Formats: sequence, structure tokens, C-alpha cells
Amino acid sequence: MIFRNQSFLNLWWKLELMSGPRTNQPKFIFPLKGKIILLFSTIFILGIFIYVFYAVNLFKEDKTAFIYDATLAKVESINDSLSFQKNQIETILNAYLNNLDESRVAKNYGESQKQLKQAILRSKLPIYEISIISKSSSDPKGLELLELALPPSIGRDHFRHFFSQQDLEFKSSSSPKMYSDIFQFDNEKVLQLPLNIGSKIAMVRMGISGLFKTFERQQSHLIILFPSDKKEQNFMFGQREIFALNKIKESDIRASIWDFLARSNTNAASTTVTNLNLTSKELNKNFPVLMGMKFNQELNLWILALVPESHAFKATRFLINRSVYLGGILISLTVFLGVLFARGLTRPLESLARTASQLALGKFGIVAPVSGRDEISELTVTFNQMSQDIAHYIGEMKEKNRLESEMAVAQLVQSTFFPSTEKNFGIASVSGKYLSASECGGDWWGSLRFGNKIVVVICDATGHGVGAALMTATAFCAVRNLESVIKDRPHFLDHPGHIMQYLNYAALGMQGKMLMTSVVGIYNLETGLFKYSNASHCPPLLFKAKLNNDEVAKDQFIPLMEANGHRLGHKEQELYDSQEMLLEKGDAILFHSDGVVEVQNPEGKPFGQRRFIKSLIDSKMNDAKSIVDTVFNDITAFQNGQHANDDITTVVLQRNKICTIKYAFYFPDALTCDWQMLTQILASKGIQLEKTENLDSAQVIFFGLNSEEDISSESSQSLLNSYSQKVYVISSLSSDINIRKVLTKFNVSHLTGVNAPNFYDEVADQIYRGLVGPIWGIETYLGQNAKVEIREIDAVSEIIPSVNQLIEQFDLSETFSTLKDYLSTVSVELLSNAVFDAARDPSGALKYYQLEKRKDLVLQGHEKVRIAMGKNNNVVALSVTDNFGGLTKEMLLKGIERCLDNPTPKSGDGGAGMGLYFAFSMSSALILNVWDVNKTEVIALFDLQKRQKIYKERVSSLHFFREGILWPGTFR
Amino acid sequence: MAGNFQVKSQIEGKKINAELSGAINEDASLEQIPSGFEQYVFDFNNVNLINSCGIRDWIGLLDRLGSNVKITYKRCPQIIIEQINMVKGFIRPNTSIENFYAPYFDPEPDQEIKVLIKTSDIQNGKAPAMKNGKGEPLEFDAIEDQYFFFLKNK
Repeated sequence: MIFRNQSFLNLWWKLELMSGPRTNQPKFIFPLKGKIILLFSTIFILGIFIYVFYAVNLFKEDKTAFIYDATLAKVESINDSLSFQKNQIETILNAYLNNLDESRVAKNYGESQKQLKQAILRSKLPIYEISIISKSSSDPKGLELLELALPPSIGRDHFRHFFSQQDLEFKSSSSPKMYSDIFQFDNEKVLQLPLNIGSKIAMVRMGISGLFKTFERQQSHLIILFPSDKKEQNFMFGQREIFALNKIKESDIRASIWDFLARSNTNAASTTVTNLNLTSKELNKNFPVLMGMKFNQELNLWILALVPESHAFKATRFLINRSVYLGGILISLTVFLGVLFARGLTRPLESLARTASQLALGKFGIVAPVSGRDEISELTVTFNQMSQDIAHYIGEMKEKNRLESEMAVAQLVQSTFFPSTEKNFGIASVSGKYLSASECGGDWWGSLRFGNKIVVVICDATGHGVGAALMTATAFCAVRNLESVIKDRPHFLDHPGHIMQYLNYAALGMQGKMLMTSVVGIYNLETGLFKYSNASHCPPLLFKAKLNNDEVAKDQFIPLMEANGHRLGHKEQELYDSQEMLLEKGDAILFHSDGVVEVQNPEGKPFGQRRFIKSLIDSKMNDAKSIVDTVFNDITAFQNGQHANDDITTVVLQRNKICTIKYAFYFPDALTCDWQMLTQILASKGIQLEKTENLDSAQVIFFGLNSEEDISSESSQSLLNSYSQKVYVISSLSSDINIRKVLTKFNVSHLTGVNAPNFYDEVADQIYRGLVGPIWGIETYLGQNAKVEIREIDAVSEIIPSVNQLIEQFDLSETFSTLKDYLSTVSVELLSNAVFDAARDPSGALKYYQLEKRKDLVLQGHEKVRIAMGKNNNVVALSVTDNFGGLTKEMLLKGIERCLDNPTPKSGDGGAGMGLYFAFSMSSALILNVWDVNKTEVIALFDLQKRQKIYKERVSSLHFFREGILWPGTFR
Repeated sequence: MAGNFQVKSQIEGKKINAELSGAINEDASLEQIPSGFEQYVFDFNNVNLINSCGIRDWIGLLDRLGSNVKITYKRCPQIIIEQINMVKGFIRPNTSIENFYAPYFDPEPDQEIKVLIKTSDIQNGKAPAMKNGKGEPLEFDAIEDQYFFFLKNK
């Protein structure tokens, strides 16, 4: 029953396949239950075996001894019995034989004989007859016969006849052998016993079948009697069924006995028990027997008792078998009880093991049922506690991991708040570095450029960690939103205090829970003027470079202690003052957080102001990046592995000693450029051109186009694709090709016609404009002294009158007459575009685009369109500006290209779509300034030429500038 | 300077002579030019502005007048010629330019002169030779291929 139980089978042998994460799981598991059962069984079996072995051996020995003793006793008993009988007979005969003689004399022989018979009968000896043989020779007969009762199976006559022969032989022998003899008469065995009784010899013939029967009653032994002369016919066997069953014949027995007697040195006088192997000739195999043997010297008779060993130890074997059966039963019982016991013992362990497996599979918190009150239940309780603790710790770990992950994300997010470490604006450079004391820090610095102004902001939130990091996020977002703020409040760029107020407003959102110190600095690239405002931050240092002297000394560092206000987030309506100073070439402003001077070494000493100044001196103050790197390297060396308690930030704004622009050129041979001229013009603007062959490091790449092959070559394509942002195309090709194959195909932002009348000025101006600015307004193209007229357009009806009015302001008599028509057409087209195609509704959709152009549209108050017109000696310039910033470079190029492909007006209610095409075709240069979503300015320049042909031959220039907050990394 | 568009028409049987003035823009009422004539002669001499919307409306006018009518442009200012050259549809198979102003440069006073030339005077895409009052040759002050492009662009 139990073997049909799968779990029982499993408990004996489990085969576990190695798979998955449980690679350390043993291949074969021998269950505990099995071990317990095996233990019990082994102990029991061992005990049984030891007992059985010992006991059986003991028993066997005992049995063997018993059998030996029994056999010996049997032989002895037979011997004693025979001897007793002999003595008894001798006694009787001794007593009565003399009487016989006397009675013969007294003539009452009959009576004496009768008495003798009676005495024999009384003795109950199975004497069949006694032949009394006289030894005297005078007695010719010398034989008296005393006949007694014979068994019915023996015929008297046959008996008498046989023994009379014996008597005669005996009497006639001169030395008759006084040894016994045994004869077989049918089923009766007769012992002839010669006794010396006085002068006579009594040949007693007595039956010994009874003796055999008596000693063979238990059928354990085969009694053998034979006289010493070992005649075959005198070999008397008792019951020999066992031997017959085993095919052992009398001859086999006899032969074996005689063989043994011949070999052995048996003392005829002693009684022995020995092992004998009877050999069955028929079966040709041995039949071991135990043989007891005794030689009765009186009777001259060998008395043997044989018992087959198998018979002799039958009981032993029986006992062993029974022991085995009993052992088997007991083992089964043991196993059964062991199973029951083990089950009770191991079930909780199995349950625990299963639960542990579940735990290993990730089911944390799982508990096993507790039963009993033993060490296993204690273990189960402990396990359950462990499981729940693990679940708890896992939960805590998950939470910790989540927090760490979020911290990592926060750290990553915060890392995006920081600009690239170094940016060269040509005229000035800004470089900064930040090291957080923990995953998220409380310092932040940023640098942005708007037009010709660079704004540098450094902040330090109270403490560090997540809270401080959130504060820096506030600062970052606030500064980032300056772009849209400046749109409505351009004066912010004039006064850093305004920006500081704006930051304060943002910080007040923390409701005073976190405060922040800050310095805001604004540097004007054009004028060199630096203004700053401080909100309780570490005062920045001004470094004044010495003219023509690269040595740096401590007295060149001046702390800027003015314009200090409350921390950001502390006080509403706080007004922040500012201070300004002029930065000469090489001068620098050093912003830093207090962590710089407070960082400690392992001995607890702070870096301090002195070491900070020394570090700055060691840097030689040559360029912003090396200054920052030197300071950080010195701090790191000073820390010597000591962890910083506060964030460390250092930012340097430096007016470059030399504003260098690295340039490369890619010119076909047919095109030449006077680089020296260009260099001179730029040098007059404070920019040094440095030639380089390395296109990656070049800030400007001049790309010359003289034929279409110059564009189509693989190298040209590769260059234009890879470096479009810094390519200045100088082209002698037609506008058609310039638009289709250069400007629309590659993301190039500057193309100058090679035959521009003031080519080098134009190129130099565009480079300077891109580097320094400003980009807005025709004043930058005409110069400060040029006459500029401006008109605001509020309605469609004002367009033509305003344009006419403007054109009349300028004397264009020295130019070809159609120039006025060009001015008029381009102005009207650009204004129409601005009025109808720029304004957007709150959803961002074009507000007036689909209006029929005839409609007398009036713009709303905040919708500004402005036209400006001006003139200098070289050009007439007009610009149309809107405050929507919707026109992009791509839209402009697309519009022109569409008209080059299909110069037909668009149908429908919207514009004809040809205005920009006209503007480009009719002007000498078209410039698009865009401030995304804020402002668009289209500037058209018209070379003042007398000769229209020359005007028309000029390859039109196209330039694109993008304004807005220029985070370091953007070169316009 | 650009201003209100006006049309002065003179009808000669099935022919109408329309003298245009002002700016041809989105506000120009081209409905003033009636349909139904077999021949239209447009005098652009006093047109001082034509913008893209005006061009679109003009093309619409031409569509309205139909392809069976004969249309002649005369005394086209340079700006009109330039826009005729730039925009497709201004000149149709049934449209011709009788004469137009072309820029010449007189080296003696060193100034530009607008000369009214006939389309028929243009041979092989070359500007007709002109002389000043002194008999000195005037220099055609435009790129001929460009300026006479309308002759091919029908």
C-alpha cells in the first residue's frame, strides 16, 4: 500500500534536475525521512543481524554441543545399556549356573533351569537363548541350551539351527573369540554375547532390536553396531530413512565408517563424536553426518550413532529461518513505524523545506505552519520570522533602491542643469566646474548669452542633498525662463538686480523653507562692461590683468563687496543693487561657492582664501578653463581623499586677452580670397583670425563655390554635411543654384556673393555679428551714424503710405531709379507677410493667414509690426520686424525655392506666396533674424549702385541668425 | 509712389484701351476692367507698384478676359517687366508687349535713362542700340538675357 504512495517513493529517491538559479542544488536528494527510516532500519537490522549471528552461533554451538552430547550420550547409553545387560546376565548366570551344576548332581536340574529362566524373565532382558558351553574337555557335550521365548518373527528351528552352528564352531575352536556378534534375523537383530561364567562360557543370544528402537525412538540417530572384526554381515543398522532419502546406502555408510576408522587414530577406548562425510556413490556427493562412536571392549563391539548434520541442526536452521522471518517482519514493522515516526518528524521539516523553496523562488514573507513543540517547531518559528524579516528587508531594500534610483535620476536630471564646462564667445570665455558633496548638490551655476550680453549666475542653496537640489532646480528653471521674461522686460539685461529680483521671486515659492545665495553678473561683449548683483553669496573676485605683464600677484585680486542684498527666498519685495566695472583684456571675474574655501583636508584644515588665491596665481590666469582646472586640481590634492562636506563650485568669466577665431578654408582654385584683408578688418574689430587645417577645431570654415562641380564633389558634400553650422559659403554661382543646391540642401546659414561690393566688410561683419552681436536692427549694418526711419504698422491700410513715406526720406538720386521700386515692392511684400502671416492665436495657429488680403486688417495692441529704413554710403537697408517669431529659415528657403520651381502666385484667400522670392530677387542681401516664437526681423540690403547692371550682376547674399537664450554650445 | 489703383478706359469698338495707374495690389479693383471685348490694350506707364497679390489678381483678370481676346501691354515700367520675367502667367500666348521701358546708361551725364523700346526692336535677344542727344551710344544697363526673358517666357 505504501509503495503506491508517490510521496513515499519520492522520499526514497528524489531526482532533481539542475536548472535555473538553483545551480547549487544537489542532483540527488536523499530525503530526511529516508535517512531516519534507513537509520532505524540499519540499527535494527544490524542489531538483528548481530543478535541473529551471535545468538544463532551461540545457539548453533549450543545445539552442536547438545547434539554432540546427545550423540555421545546415545552411544554411551547404548554402551551402558549393553554393558548393564551383560552384567545383569552375568550376574544371573553366575547366580544360577552353579545351581545348574548342583542341580544336575541333585537331580533337580529341571527346577534349577526353571529358576534360571524365571530369573531371566524377571530381569526382562530380551534373551532368546543361552548356550552354556563348558570349557572342560571332559564334558563331551559341554553344551546346555537354555531356550527362552523368541519373537514371533523368528522361527525357532531356524534360530536354533543357526546358532547351533555357532555353538559347534565355538566349542570346537581351541581359542574361541570372546567377542560379540550381531546377527540379523528378518526384522530382528540378535546380539550374541559370549560370557565367561566360571568354567563355562555362556553364549547369550539376546534381541537388541528393542535397543535400536529405544535409542532410535526420536529418529534422530542411526544406531550402528558392529563387532570389531567388521564383517559386513554383522553390520547392524538401525533406522536409516533419512539416509535412504538422501540416497546414502548401507554400503556407503559402511565404507565411509571403515575408511574413517582406518584413517583416524581413534582410541578404541574413548567415546568420541566426530564429523563424517558419507559419500553417496549414486549421487557422488557428500552427506555430512555427526557420528558418535564408542568401542565396548567387554563386548568387543563398536557402537555408533550417526545423525545427519542437516537433521542435527534442523532446529538451528529452523531457528535461523524463523529469526529471519521474524527479523523481516520486525524490519518491516520498524520501517512502518519508522515511516510513521519519520513522517511525524519530517513532515514539519518537509513543510519547512517547501516553504524555504518558495522563499528561494522569491515569495518573501511566506510562512510555514508550526506544529508540535520541539526543536523543529522552534526552527519553523525562527524561519517564519526570518521570512517575514526578509520580506520586510526586501521591502526596505526596494524602497532604498527606489530612493537610490530616484536619487540617481535626480542626480542625472540635476547634471543637465549645468552647462558645458567651457565656452569661448570669442571676446570672452566662461568656464565653470561643480562638484557635489552628495548625490544631489545645492550649488548651481549657469551661463547664457542673449545678444551681445553674457549672463553668469551662481547659486548656493542652504545645505545639500535633495532639498538643496530642488532649490537649484528652481534657479535653473527661473534662469531658463529668462528668455521669455526678457522678451517683455528687455531691461533685465541692463541691470542684474532685476534678474536677482526675479530669482528671488522664484525662490520665495519655497516659502522660506529653503534659501539661496547668488551672484548674477552681466557682461556686455560689445562694450566690455560688467555688472553684478549679490544676494549674500561669497563675493566674487575681480582679477585685473596687467598690461604687457603676464605675472600674477595677489594684489590683482579684488573682492567685489558691493551690491549685496538678502538671500534669495528670504524677503519679498527685496531690491538688489548692482555695481559695474569695465573688463579690459585679460580681466576676469571669479565666482565661487563657500565650499571652495571651506573644504578640509584629513587634518581638518580648511582650504581657505589664501590657498584659493595661491591656486589662482599658479594658474597664471591665462584662460578661463585652465583657471578652473587649476583650482579644482589643487582642491583635490588638498583634500587628499577627505570627503567634502559642502558642494564646490568655481566659475570664471574672462575677457579674452586675444579673441581668436580659428578658421579653415575650402576654396576651389578658381576662386581667390584676400585673407589678409579679411584678417585686417576683423582685427580692427578685436578679432584675430588663426588659420587651421583642422576642420573640427575651426570655428569658421570658408567654403568657396565657383561651379556646380564644387558642390557635387564627395568631399564638398561631406564637408557641408558635417560642418554646415560653421560654414560660410562664398559663391559666384547664380541665386537659383545657391538656393536649390546649397542653402536648401545643407544646413548652411551664411552665403555671401563673391562679387559683393564690400565683400570683406560683409564677411567680417557677419562673423563679428555671429560672435559678438548684436544681430537685430539695420543699425548694425548701417553704422551708428546712419539715418534710420522707423514706422509702426497697425493696419493694412498703413502699409503703402508708410512705405512711400519712408522711401521719400532718403535721397536715392545717385542710384539706379528702379531701386525705389525695389524698396517699395520688397517693403510692401515683407509688411504684408508680417501683418497677415505672422500673428498667431493662443493655440499657435496663424491668425490672419486665411483672411482675404483686401480686408482692412487692424492689428491688436500686442501685435507689433515695424518697418525701419536707413541708408549709409553703401547700402539702403530696410527691415520688417514682427513680435511673433514664426518665420524660420526653412520656411523662407522653401518659399523662395517654390517660386524658383514654379513662379506662379498661390491661389486662394491667403497670400500669393511670392513676397520672399521678390525680396530675395530684388535685394543684394537678405538677412533673417529669428527669436523663436518671439520676434522675426527680415532685413533687406540694397547696394547703392548707379548701374543697375552691376547691381543685378551681384550674387545675392543670404544670412540667417537665430536669437534667444544661447546656452553655451550655440554659436550663431 | 504706390497708391490707389485706377483705370481710365477708352473703348474703340471691340477694343478697349485701359490706362492703369497706381498700385496693382490686393486692393486694386480690377473689376473696373470690363470683360467682353475682343482686344485689350493695357497701358502700365503710371503703374508704380505691383505686388504678388496684385499679380495674382492680374492673372485672375486675364483668366476672366479669356484666352480668345488679344491683350497688349504697353509702356511697361521696368518693375513690371521684371515681374513679368519673374512670374509665370503674366504673359499668355494671347498677350504681347508692345513696348516697355529699358534701362540705359548715359556715360556723359553718368546717369541712368529709361528708354521706351519696342519689343519688335529686340533682335536676337539684344537690346536695340540707343544714343544720347549727342549721338553717343547708351549702354544697356541690364542683363539682356534676364531683362528680355519675357520674350521666351510665354
